[in-house]
Amino acid sequence: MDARPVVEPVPHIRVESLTVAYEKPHAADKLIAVSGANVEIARGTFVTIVGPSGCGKSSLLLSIAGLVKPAAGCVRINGNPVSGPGRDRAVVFQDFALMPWRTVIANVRFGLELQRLPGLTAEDLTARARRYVELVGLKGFEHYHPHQLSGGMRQRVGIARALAVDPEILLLDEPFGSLDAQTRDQMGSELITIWERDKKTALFVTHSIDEAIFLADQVVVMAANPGRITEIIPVSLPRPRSVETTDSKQFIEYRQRIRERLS
Amino acid sequence: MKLTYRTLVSTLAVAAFLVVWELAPRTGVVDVTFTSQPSRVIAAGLTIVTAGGFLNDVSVSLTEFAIGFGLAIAIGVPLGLVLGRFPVLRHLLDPPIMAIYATPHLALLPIIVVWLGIGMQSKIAVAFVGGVIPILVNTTAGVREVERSWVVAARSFCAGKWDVFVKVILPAALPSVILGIRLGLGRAVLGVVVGEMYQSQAGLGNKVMRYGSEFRTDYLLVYVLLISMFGLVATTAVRTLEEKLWTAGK
Repeated sequence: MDARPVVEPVPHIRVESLTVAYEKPHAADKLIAVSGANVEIARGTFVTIVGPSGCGKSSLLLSIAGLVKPAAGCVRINGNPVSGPGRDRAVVFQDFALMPWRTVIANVRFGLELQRLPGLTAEDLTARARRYVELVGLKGFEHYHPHQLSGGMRQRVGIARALAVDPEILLLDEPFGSLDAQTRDQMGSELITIWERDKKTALFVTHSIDEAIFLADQVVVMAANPGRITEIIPVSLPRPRSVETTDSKQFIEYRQRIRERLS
Repeated sequence: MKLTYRTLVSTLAVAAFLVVWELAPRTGVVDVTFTSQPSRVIAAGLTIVTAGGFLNDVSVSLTEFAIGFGLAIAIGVPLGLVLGRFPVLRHLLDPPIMAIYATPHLALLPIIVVWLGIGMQSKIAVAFVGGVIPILVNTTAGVREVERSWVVAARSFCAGKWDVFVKVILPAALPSVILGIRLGLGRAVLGVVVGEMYQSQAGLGNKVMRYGSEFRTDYLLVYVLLISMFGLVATTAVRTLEEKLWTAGK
């Protein structure tokens, strides 16, 4: 036998006793959004974060995005501490955050323009943006403006914008929160189809238990006051999943377990 | 069909007005000294244009407007952008700006003439003061009302402060900037004309005042018409720009 030491693989994302606090507008003390959260996320997995409003699930995600500075603890990506946003991560926002003066294709191009990837001409960026517009099923809508699109279509633009910069990690902050149930299910299935092409590490915040289970390899359950992680549940449902999956005995067990945790 | 009907009615209304205006003095119902007549106004217009000095008046007024309003844009827009971005400066400059905003800029005319004399400088100054405030206030508001989520989205793609400014703040604030320019335009025109009417050596407002005091209604109306036409053309130009931006930008 070799005496070589066993090297623990570095998790893609590692959250170490992370605390996030916000200034209260009219008080001296701070609002603790996340308190001492620990979680490890392996490369190529789809992880969902579920919990009630005010449990700090968005704050956790935005800390990983580098958009919120932790009060204590840290986030590491490939072992390196996060100090701000980076090219290795892209965010999909709940309110879409599309620029109303830009067309669909120009919105998808937005992130590419900002990241200034070396060696890419303006035509390259447009061509790449067009590919991602097509990937999310918006071919033919390139020159529409966001206000001419439905909510579901707008979020497709948001997803295309994030994917276009080819991040290692995709961070989705309640991306389907403002969509109707039917659109929501369909968008979830499509997101998984896209995700399965190159299996980027994905982190998805939601307050829907079913959505959390359906999408995930791993569900992070959070609770409020103070916001904290209460349980991390691996989901072993086989992929590809479908509507039938949600009726399976296993799925219902997961649902029960999470619901108990949340109540 | 609807449009041509509307055009027809409007054209008829204008024609009817002109006919009544032309005939009323002839029947002796009104005194032609007070109302003049379309035919006399046209004749006066031809005399004014062919006689010397007309182009000088036009160029004096246009120069005063162009410099005053140009300065209002050149200073109002950048200053508004800065005030929108930096709350400290805003708190510092808000009281004086609000004071000037609340003051009718024409009321400042006497003191501006005392400072700058009766030449073009005083008119430039009034046009500037009138124009700069709406531009400044609207630009500042436009910057402040930029959705936070757009800025956060830009930052998530590694945008620096300058990127955020150029790619988010500027395009988002642009419609407010144009609105401010449109509102400022009217006040700048008013500043030039009333400034010239108050104290001046030349300009369209100068002639309005002069012919008014001489009871030469036909001459006076030619100049009033010129001023209205200029205001209309300039406002339409800005409005067209505004609409272009909205359709491109919404």
